[in-house]
Amino acid sequence: MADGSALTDLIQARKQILLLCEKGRFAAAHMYLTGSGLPASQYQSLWAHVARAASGTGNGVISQKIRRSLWHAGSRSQDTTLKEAEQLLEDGDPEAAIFMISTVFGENPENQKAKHILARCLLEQARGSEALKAIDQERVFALDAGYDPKTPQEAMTMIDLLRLTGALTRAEQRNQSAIRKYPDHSHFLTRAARIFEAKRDPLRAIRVWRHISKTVPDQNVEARFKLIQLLRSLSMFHQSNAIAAELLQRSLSYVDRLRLAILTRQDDMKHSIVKLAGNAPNADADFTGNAQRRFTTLLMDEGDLGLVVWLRRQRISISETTKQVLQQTGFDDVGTRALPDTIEEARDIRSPDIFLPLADLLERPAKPDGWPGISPTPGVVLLVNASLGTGGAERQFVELVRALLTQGIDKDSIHCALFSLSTDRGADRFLPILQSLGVKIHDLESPIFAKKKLPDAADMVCSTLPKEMQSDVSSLWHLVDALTPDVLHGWQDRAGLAAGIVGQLLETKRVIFSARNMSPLTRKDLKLMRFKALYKDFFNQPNFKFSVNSAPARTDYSNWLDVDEKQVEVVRNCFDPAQFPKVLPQPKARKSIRLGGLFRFATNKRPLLWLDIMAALQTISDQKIEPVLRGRGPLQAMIEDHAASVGVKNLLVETDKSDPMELFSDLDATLLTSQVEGTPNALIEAQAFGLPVVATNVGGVSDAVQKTGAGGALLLDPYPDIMEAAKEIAQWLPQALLRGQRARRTFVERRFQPGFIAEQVTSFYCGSERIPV
Amino acid sequence: MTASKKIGILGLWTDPIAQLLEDVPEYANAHFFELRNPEADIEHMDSVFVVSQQEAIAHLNSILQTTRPITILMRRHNGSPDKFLEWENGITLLGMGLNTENSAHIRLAALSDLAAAAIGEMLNKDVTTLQKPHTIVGDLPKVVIERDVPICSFSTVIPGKPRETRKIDITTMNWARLRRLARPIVLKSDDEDMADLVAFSVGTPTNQVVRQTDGETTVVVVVPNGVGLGHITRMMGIGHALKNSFNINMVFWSYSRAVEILRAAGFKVILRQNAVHLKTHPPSWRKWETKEFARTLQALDARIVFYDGGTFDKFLVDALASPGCGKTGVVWVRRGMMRPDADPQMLEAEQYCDLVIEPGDLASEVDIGPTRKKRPNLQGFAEHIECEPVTLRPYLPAYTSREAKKKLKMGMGRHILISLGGAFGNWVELRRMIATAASKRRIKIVWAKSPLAPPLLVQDPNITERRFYPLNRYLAAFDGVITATGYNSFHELLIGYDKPIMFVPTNNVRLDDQVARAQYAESKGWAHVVLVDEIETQGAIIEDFMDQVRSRTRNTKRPEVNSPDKTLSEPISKIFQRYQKFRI
Repeated sequence: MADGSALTDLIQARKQILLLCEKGRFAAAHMYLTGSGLPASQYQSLWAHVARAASGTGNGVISQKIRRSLWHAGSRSQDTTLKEAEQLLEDGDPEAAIFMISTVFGENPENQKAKHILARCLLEQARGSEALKAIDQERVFALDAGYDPKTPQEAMTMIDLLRLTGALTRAEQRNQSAIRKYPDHSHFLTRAARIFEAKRDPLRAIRVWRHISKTVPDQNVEARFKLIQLLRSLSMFHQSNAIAAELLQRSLSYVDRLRLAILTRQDDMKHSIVKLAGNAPNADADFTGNAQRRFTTLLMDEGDLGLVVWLRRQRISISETTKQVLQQTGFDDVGTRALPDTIEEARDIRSPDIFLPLADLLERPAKPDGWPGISPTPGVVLLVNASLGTGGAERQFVELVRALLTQGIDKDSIHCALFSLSTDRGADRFLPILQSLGVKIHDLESPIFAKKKLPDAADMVCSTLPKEMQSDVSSLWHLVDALTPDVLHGWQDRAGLAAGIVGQLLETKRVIFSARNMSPLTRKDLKLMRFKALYKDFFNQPNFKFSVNSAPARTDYSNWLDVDEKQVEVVRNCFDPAQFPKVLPQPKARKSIRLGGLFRFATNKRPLLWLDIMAALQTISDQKIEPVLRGRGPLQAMIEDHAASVGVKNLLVETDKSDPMELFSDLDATLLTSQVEGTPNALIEAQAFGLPVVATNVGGVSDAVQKTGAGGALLLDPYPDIMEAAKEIAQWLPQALLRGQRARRTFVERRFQPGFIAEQVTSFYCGSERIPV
Repeated sequence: MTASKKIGILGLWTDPIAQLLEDVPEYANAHFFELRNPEADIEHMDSVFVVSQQEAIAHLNSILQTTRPITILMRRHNGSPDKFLEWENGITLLGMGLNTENSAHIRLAALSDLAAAAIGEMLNKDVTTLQKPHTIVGDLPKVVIERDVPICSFSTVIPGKPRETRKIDITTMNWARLRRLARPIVLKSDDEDMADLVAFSVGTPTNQVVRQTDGETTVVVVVPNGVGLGHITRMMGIGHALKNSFNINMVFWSYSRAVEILRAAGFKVILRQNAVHLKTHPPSWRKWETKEFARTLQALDARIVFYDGGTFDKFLVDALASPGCGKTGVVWVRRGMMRPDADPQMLEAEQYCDLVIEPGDLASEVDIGPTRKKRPNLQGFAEHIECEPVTLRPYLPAYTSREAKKKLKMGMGRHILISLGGAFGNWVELRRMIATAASKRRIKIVWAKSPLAPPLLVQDPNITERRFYPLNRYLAAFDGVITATGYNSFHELLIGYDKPIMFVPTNNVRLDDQVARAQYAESKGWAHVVLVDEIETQGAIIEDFMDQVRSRTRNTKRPEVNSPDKTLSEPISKIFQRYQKFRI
């Protein structure tokens, strides 16, 4: 063909294509493009034009095909890339979209649209992964650096991405600026509240939710649910109940009523609602497919398998995941388990109880008598705790590791695993100290532990557990499977429960569960109380050891679990004298007495009672009493108000002290008025400074103080009469101030000796005879 | 007649307090309904009783929205340490939830003054004490009730017998019934709720109780048959016996297709369909049947439920546990002479009964079945009597031979009746031998056809069939009878019929020991017996039987027996008194 003719053909084809586009006949236009001899590599602009026109009129499929062709032809125009990436994202392939964006715009694009799409892709990936740190945080930070959102949606994308990757402080900052920029968008308010909650700052979260409950009508109920949850976490039950009661008065959907019952831990109410949903599903117009699946999933998350099975028999819809779990566990029509006919039968079928003993479920042959025997050395020890955040138990975790190393265990033999080490959540307070000890530290939030797939038996057990336990057990399983420790030591209840389960799943040689407080029953922890059967099952394992940190706690747990006290070891707190200088106050005449309270300003510590006693003491004491409160917590404002109302004079409240010298050296005595206590470190440390201590005799308090002799503490009634308590203190204090300083120090050095405790724990690790406390 | 108040129960339908309400003066003569969908159902009630504070908070919105009077029963703690917090919090939540303007129609109540005071203080609200039922007077056995311990042991004295220890599954009992049979006591002091329930059920002594003695007393008879007539026949016999002694209204709750027979006999019938009839999932059917039966018991104000059958269907037990059904006694009419290998598990249903009546069996001397030799693990409070054999003979006069033949359109000559029921053994050969022997002697055979069986499409001209009921009225028409040895046939024939009888017992697909029954009759010289698996003797026995028919031989050895009227009168009267209606 002559050139002139070719050119004419080209012009003709181009004209035809444009005409087809004008007429909206994009399929024809595409066919023309592909058949016209106008390859994308040479006629990029024409192809791009058709793609744009098709996209602009909603012909996404054709537009995408054309863009693909352009891409294959090496055409990497920004516009096309952006559109294609967006399409891929919408099609559920964020990885491919990331590839395209990165190819054209680089790993850290400057183009804002590209940044936004990339952020959406990463967010999609983060949501799809169960690991908090599945997405590279540095990459997200780099993306965040130049990110300039132009719409609320764009702003939300980055906020959510930062949240999901654990960068809560950055998320908070972005969110604050979004609130200023888009004051009418309630989504940023809810995000603010969720960020505060994730940062373990419930007070600020509560403030925001309260604001939302008053100002955002369509979030009214949700805000109230969050308030109930947060207030309960702070043991502010009265306020929480008031909100719950107000919700109860409303006409709520079945799902919300169930949520309320679960949140307030009203099991009987929950059963009543389940019965209603099963008997009269049509009475709630919104109780259709999705709502039914949500309803049953909520129950599964609580471990209420029986209720879900009963609902299924009433033809209530369940999710595919739930179906699988029921099938795995034999609770379907062809399964091996008897299905409940009535709700009364159904309510007793709960996980993990029905799967106990775990050994039977796993069909493990019984171990021979004497297993696992005695080992000359502990072997590899894996200690597990929830976090290294601020808390006595967390500090004790670190002190135990220190004591074990001092005892002679090689640091390469000690591994520590934490369910969270998030800085933004305050979970890493003691991390530097632990790191300085040189032991291996594992972050169980790392993506490598969040693999979805477990082997069948483990998966079956894990999938039936209440939701809050599933990720703990799953991530710990992967670590233990990789590490194969000889000893798995769970510290505190959460880690202890996970360790107990994982230890059985993987047949770890020895499993230690160290509770560090009174029993869940005494602590009124309804969430933990429902695992009673699981606790008890552990005691039936020959390789299992259970310890608490005080003699009263031993009695408490034994009574709760109905086990012999001999089966519960006492491993006390460690007191490291090196960290507490031996600065003992000199007996002297005093014009005034500085009486300190060192505790978290939370309901359990009963700070208002502390103030009441202080006020009474001030009126009857011959000497001037100067009350000092050191700590922080949700009740701080209430404390100050109450002090004024009861007439406490000269109250000093300090929230920023943490060094022991700063905390104790200027005090003359301390008073603790808790309702429940494990082993109060504040009393141990006060005595280390030779200070007389007064405390309500609850929990492990009596175990933590010298009871008799020159340095003896004053133990008050657990529910003291205020004036009687003040009189007791007034009578006791003068003598107590004059003597016993050295005795108190000696007491704590002896009772809480790290060496002894390390010896005890090492004996557990080796399986040797118990060392009497 | 004033309509009964409709009281909706919100909460566990079989909660003891719901069961006890019918004895509470405030709820006398009320009918109780389970509120499965409170929002819709409440408006159909006259008032609502909420069995606990937890139920109240679960349905608080519905309770507040209605104007119907609501009573919420505030329960004390059940003693479980693990449940204390939930209980305490539940009270608090309810108290807060009721702090609203539209709660004037709501009354908070408790089972005792102590409970009312304690909970009132917690709530800072008025809590009234529910008026207790009256104390049932009498020397009743003490039963210790413990939550989560379903099986209770107790010691009792049955008149005429030494003291014995018995057991019962207390969870199946209606507490309104329980308090008439026993004196519940509680030992665990920390279960305050149970202590309240027990004290409430014991009630308050009063001399203000007025028993209602006039008028008809309704009894409901449950018969399980699908196709047979045995249970109906026996219960009609008992029904007639009771009518002779009491002013009763007898209503049959029947799965049998023999409705017209019952009606023709003057009994009222409620025809029911079972799961097979309806082709439904049995558990679903059972739930439905439970509700329907309970509603019927309430509506009819039945004083006794009679059950004639092998063992109790769960619907019966569950219905009797329903609120409003506690003033109903249970009488089990249970045949003896069960096969020795019959499952003794069926005896456990005794625990649901006030009385077990064993209709007398002429062959009881050779009874080695479980009713004679075994004792159930759970006997409950059941008393046992054995009465005279039950037949319809005393109550339905027999036709003369002429009358009967005319009614059956039988002509002259000798006739034998063959009534053999279900298939068994080598029937074809046996039939041939009988037909041959009868034919040789010019004896005509009449085949008895069940009134319930469908008619044949094509009638065989060589076979004479007749449907008639009951057997005894028409026996005079026959010169001899060949029959299986079921209870009714056996006794209808041996009592008051003096012509030749040949028993052909079967133990296939039957619970009763027909062979033993038949052989006993033979040993007494009352009848011939052909055993289906003893082929070598069959021929001779049949021949001899036919000879006797031909020669009109009469048998004078058969026993004379009274009707059971007198024997049944006193124990049934006791049950009527136990559940008698009253007012305060």
